[in-house]
Order: sequence, then structure tokens, then C-alpha cells
Amino acid sequence: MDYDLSTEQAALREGVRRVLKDAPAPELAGLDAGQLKQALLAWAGRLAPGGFLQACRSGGLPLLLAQEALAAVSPALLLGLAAGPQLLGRLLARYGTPTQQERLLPALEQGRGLGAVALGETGTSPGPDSLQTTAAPQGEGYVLSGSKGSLLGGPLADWLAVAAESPTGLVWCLLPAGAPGLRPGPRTATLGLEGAAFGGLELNGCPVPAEMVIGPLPDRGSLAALQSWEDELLIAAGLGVLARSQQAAAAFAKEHRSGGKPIIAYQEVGFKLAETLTLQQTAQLLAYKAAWALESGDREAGALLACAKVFCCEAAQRVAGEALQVLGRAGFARGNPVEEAYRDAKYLTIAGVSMEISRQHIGEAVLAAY
Amino acid sequence: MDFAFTSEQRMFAEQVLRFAKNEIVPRCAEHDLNSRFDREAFNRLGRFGLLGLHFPEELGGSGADVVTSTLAGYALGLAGVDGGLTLSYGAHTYLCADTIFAHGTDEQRRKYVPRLAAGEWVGCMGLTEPGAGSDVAGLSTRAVQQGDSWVLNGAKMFITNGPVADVALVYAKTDPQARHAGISAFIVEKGTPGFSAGQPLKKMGVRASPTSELFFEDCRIPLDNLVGGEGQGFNMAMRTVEWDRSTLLAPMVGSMEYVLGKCAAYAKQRSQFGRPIAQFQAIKHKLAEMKIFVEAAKNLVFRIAWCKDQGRPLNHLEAAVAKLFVGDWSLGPSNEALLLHGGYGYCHEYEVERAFRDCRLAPIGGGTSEIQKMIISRLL
Ligand SMILES: Cc1cc2nc3c(=O)[nH]c(=O)nc-3n(C[C@H](O)[C@H](O)[C@H](O)COP(=O)(O)OP(=O)(O)OC[C@H]3O[C@@H](n4cnc5c(N)ncnc54)[C@H](O)[C@@H]3O)c2cc1C
Repeated sequence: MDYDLSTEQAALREGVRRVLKDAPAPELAGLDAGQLKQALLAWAGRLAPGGFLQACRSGGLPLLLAQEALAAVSPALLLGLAAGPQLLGRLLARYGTPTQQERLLPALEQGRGLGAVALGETGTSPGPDSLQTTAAPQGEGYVLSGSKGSLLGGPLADWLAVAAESPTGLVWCLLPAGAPGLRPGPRTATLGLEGAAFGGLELNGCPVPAEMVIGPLPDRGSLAALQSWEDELLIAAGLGVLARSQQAAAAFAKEHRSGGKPIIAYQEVGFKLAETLTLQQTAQLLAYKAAWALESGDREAGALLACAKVFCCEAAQRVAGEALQVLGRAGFARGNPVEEAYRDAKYLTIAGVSMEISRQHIGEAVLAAY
Repeated sequence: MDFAFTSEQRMFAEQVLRFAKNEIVPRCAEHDLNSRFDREAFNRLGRFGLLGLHFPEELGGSGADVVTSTLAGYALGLAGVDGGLTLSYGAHTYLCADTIFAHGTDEQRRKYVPRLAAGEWVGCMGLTEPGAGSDVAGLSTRAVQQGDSWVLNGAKMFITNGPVADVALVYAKTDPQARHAGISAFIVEKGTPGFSAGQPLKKMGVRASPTSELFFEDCRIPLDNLVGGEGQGFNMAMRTVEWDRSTLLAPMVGSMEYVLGKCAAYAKQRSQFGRPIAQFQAIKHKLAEMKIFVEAAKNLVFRIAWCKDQGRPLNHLEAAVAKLFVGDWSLGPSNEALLLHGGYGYCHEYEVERAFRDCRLAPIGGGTSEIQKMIISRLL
């Protein structure tokens, strides 16, 4: 047992912190797609040399710590940068052919291109339901038809992996932006994470050559895997939201005065911050333990990840709400870290495996264990 | 960072678990329902070595580290031992015996620690008073030096093991003008003239742990019964906080894991609407709430234990976070556990009902949740 971070465990985070010290995090909200892509690629270029993007493929505690540090500054920046290497990157690494890996991974991991994964659809739930997007065989390859709901990083992606049903099983088709028949929908206006760029896709007879197809896969395990990779990312974003909210609220409460003393001296405020700090620390340890369990192949790792997802993302939502309450009028005004955190947090409880499904998974794991 | 226990620690926890299931748990329900202290179970804990695990061998212990001691407490809860017996064990071992061990003279150690570690004597710790609970420094029990004695006057309230204790570690004011700096600690033995304990209080939970008032009326004790220096009492009481937040909280968390197992088994066996209730989403939701609590709380409690093993000074913030989380966040899951059992959960026969009552103590004893929030907000 050891509750301290080793130098190796902290190294990746230190690298990210150094980059953040040299260049303050960019203001992403309000940028158009072109500007946003430019900003993200510039940051990808800064972070790539320290190995951050490459680590997104392998996961583990060092990555979680580094992602937390980045999200504490900007959750949107984390999601915008990591979605490609973490979701598309891991999909390629686990299921892709060597040719596909050679073609896409270097660009994703050296910060030369952005990637996204298109799974979810309006009207179906990926997992229990079969997808409406179809891959019809044509020659050696397939033709894709259907549409995908709003997805993280979709409008900016240089490469997309699109999930579809072929007559012989699930396939993932790798498409470059601008592929014939692939039409990105408009950017979705979102409640939060405006800097992360969400948008849907239309696929109208989009041809995919055989060498760009993963599958047909014998089972649907890749769907569950993808969601758990996404959960790892969302947990990190949740820790970032927690840190951001707690920091801003505590600083405000120490500085803002009422009745001749800082408002933190009042129990109504001070105790609230004590509760939120408790949630933050508890969430951190639970997330670190889940990451450690995944890394060390612990048999409970899956259940722990789900526990961390529920706890961290709900805590993020609650703490951001309380922090906003502490800031009062100043928090309600647009353009401060806490109102941003408050809006960002909502996404975390919805995306990946939702809170509701996660709790069902945990319940099932408990039933199986006893 | 590494969350794994050593294989020795895991093996020892297994032994404690087996011992408790066989030797202790079958006795718990009856003692809880009758609000009776189980002296025999306590003796068994002593014989197994749990009452003095961390003391050196020459004082009757086995020199265990804090993580192992915490794990032992966790295993007692996990086995299904009631919160009453684990509270009595915790107060005896860590609030009374350990304070004598950590601050006493060699003579005091040799006289008291081995007997307490063996369970031959039962110990208690008296800090709280009828008029001073959260405001510890406001305590008013007086100790005055008269010739070759200290003379104690005053009363203590809510003292775990009070009615059965052979040895009481009592905090009293030696300088009534000073607040914290005026507090000193004393050993008072059962049978000392002027010292008596009240009737056991009738409580909602932790019923097998006897709680009472202690009275001191011109109670004369030898000068040698002062523990630590004069005016050192408050600091000594604070030293017990680390134990309180690790070894005393651990059985509560272990007990919630025990309850989780009971709930899972019940959900599989109980059928309604033609199928086991385990198949309903709402039931899995309750199991998830309990599991999340257990996993979250475990990390906090073992963090305190591990830091103490590293010889670090108590991190007050982390200690308060652990106490606040276990105290406030255990209420929800223990409620879910009860509700999962429907009407049966409302009956004494089912252990979830006992756990529900027992865990109500967590946000009160050893410093209320409000006091934890006060500590955290001051440290922010
Ligand atoms: C079963 C049991 C066993 C116990 N065992 C022992 C033992 O072995 N030895 C021992 O010494 N004590 C023991 N205690 C006492 C326990 O530590 C106290 O009950 C506890 O510290 C609270 O003190 P109090 O009951 O006097 O409540 P009070 O201090 O009177 O508090 C009443 C309420 O006011 C709140 N409050 C108090 N001050 C503040 C403040 N500044 N700001 C905001 N809110 C505040 C409290 O949180 C609480 O909600 C035991 C108690 C119980 C119930």
C-alpha cells in the first residue's frame, strides 16, 4: 500500500503542468470550427513531445493524473485533445490491422490530426439495440448509409471511425474527413463544453475500401470497450471540474466579505465548502483506485470504474452547483470558471455509460460477486 | 500509489474474518437486542490478540502496523460483528490503552497495557461531559493536587465501556483558567473511592456497547496516575484522532460491506411479481449506492492508517474528510439496505436493521459532522 505518487506516476502530469505554465489555456468557447481546430492542433503539438497523446492510448494512473491537471484548467481542451487518441487510438490499437495502425496512429499521437468515433444514433441505444447505420458489401469493401447523432469532436475530426451493421456483424469503418458520401451535420449548440465541438454525421452511400474496415467483429465487445474508454476520459474531466469549482469557490469565499468578515467564516458558506472538498478528495481517491485497478488487472476493475464514474461525475455536478451558489451573482454572470464548470458537468453524467446504466452495471457486479 | 495490501495483511484479515464469523458473530444479535455487553466475546478478542495488536510483544501485543490494525477492524465489520462490540473494542484499545502506551511512564505501561491488551481489564476514555461535548476545551471536571494525591471532581457523559471499565483514562482541568492548555489526563481505577459509573444509557444503536456517565466526588488518586505532562491532555486526546479515523471507522465501513452481501443474497432469494427482486432496476440501484459508498470510504480510512504508518503528523484535513464522509454518506446506503428488505428490514431479526441503527453514531461520536466541517473550512 502506498498513498503517495511515485515519480514515474507523476511524471506525465508534471509534463502537462510545465506546458500549462508556459502557455495559458486558450479560451475555446466562441471560436468557429476553423479557429477551434487550429487551437486544438497547436495544443496537441505542445503536449505530444511529452508523450501525453501517446499515453491516451495506454491509459493508467499517470494518464488520469495528467488529464485531471489539464481538465482543471479546461475540460473542453481535455476532451477536444484526448478524444482522438483515447477513443479512436485505442480502437485501432485493439482491433485495427497493422496497416490501419500505421496509417492513423502516428498522426493522432503526434498531434498532427484530430480523430473521433461515431457510434451513437438518434433513436437507438448502442449495446442492446442494433445500429441503424448499415454497411452493405460492395466489392471488397462496404457502402455506408445512415446517420450518427451529435458526437464529440465530430465536426473537427480528420479521421472518423463509424460503427455500422454489416450482414455478417459489426464493422468499424475508418473515414477521412471529406470522404465522398460523408456529410458532417452542423455544429450542435450545446449547454456546455462549447470548446469541444459536437456535431452529427450523414452517410449517404459512402464507400469504404476493405483495408479501411475493422471487422466484421464476432461480438459487440468493442462497443462496451469504447464506452469504458470514454468513461475513463469523463472521470478525468469530472476531477477537473471538481478542482476548478472548488478552487474558484474557496478563493472567492476567502476574498469576498460580508458583515466585516470573509464569507468563508460563516458556517453556511464554510461548511458548504467543507462538504464539496470532501466530495472532491473522495472522488479523487476513488478515481485513482479505479485507474490503478485497471492498470494492475484487478478483477474488480470494471466495477470500480463504474463506481468512479458515478461518484466523480455526480460529485462534479453537485460541487459545481454549490460553488456557483457560493459565488452568488458573480457566479451567475456568464464567463467565469464556475458557471462554465456547472454547464460542463452535465455532459459528464450523460456521456459514456450514463449514470443510470452505470448503477445497473454496479448492481449486477455486486449480485455476481455474492 | 498502490492500493494493494501485502499478502501477510490479506492472510491476517482472512484469519480475523474466520475467527469472528465462528466465535463472535453467533453471539451478536442476542447481546444487541438485550443491550448487554458481551464480556465473553471481548475476552475472545483479547485471546485472539485483537485488543493489543499494535503494541510491542513485551507489552502483550504483536507489533502490527496501523494498516494491519485497521484491516483487522474492517474484517470484524465484514464478518458481521455488531457496531456495539466493535465500538467497545475500539474505545478500549485505541482511546484508552493506546493513550497510556503512547504517553504513559514505563511503570504505567507495564501495569496497564498488558492487562488491557489481554482483555483482562476493560478500559474506557472520558472526555465528554454533560456540559461539554463538541467544545472539548470547555470541560469542567477538576483535578487538584492535594499532598500526595490528585483529587478529582466532576462528571463525564456518554462514556463507552463506562459501566464495565476497570480502568478509566479521564481528562480533567488542572488549570481552570486555561482552555486547551489546562487539560490533563489521569488514570482512575475501578473501586477508587469517589469514582462511580451511572446506569447504562438506553440507546438507539451500538447497544452491546455499554455507555454511561462517570462520577467523581472527591476522588483521590496517586500523583503517579497523571498521564503525560500537566496541561498535555488536549494534545494527547488529539493524538487519538488518527486511531479514531482509521481503526474506529474501519469496522463501520466493513459492516456496510457485510450488509451489501446480505442485501445481494436477499435480493436473489426474495421473489415478487414472479421473479427475484434482484431483477428490478431499482434494487440494483440500491446495491450500487452501497457499493459506491464502501469503495469510496475504504480509500479514505486506509489513507489515514497508511500515513500514520509512515510516521507523518496527522493531516487534520484528511482526517476530517474521512470522518465526515463516513459519517454523513453512510446514512443513505444503510437506509437503502433496510428498504431493500421491505417490512423484514424493519424487524430486529434482520441485521440490516441493526446496521441502520448502529451507523447513526458515525456522524456524532468522536466529533460530530459539524465539527469536521468546522475543521475543514478553517483549513481551506
Ligand atoms: C454511543 C456514544 C458513545 C460515545 N463514547 C464516548 C467516549 O467513549 N468518550 C467520550 O469522551 N465521549 C464519547 N461520546 C461522546 C461524543 O463524542 C459526543 O456526543 C460528541 O462529541 C458530541 O457532543 P454532544 O453530544 O455534547 O453534542 P453537542 O456538542 O452539544 O452538539 C449538539 C449539536 O450542535 C452541533 N454543534 C456543536 N458545536 C457546534 C459549532 N461550533 N458549530 C456548529 N454546530 C455545532 C453539533 O454538531 C450537534 O449537532 C459518545 C457518544 C455516543 C453517542
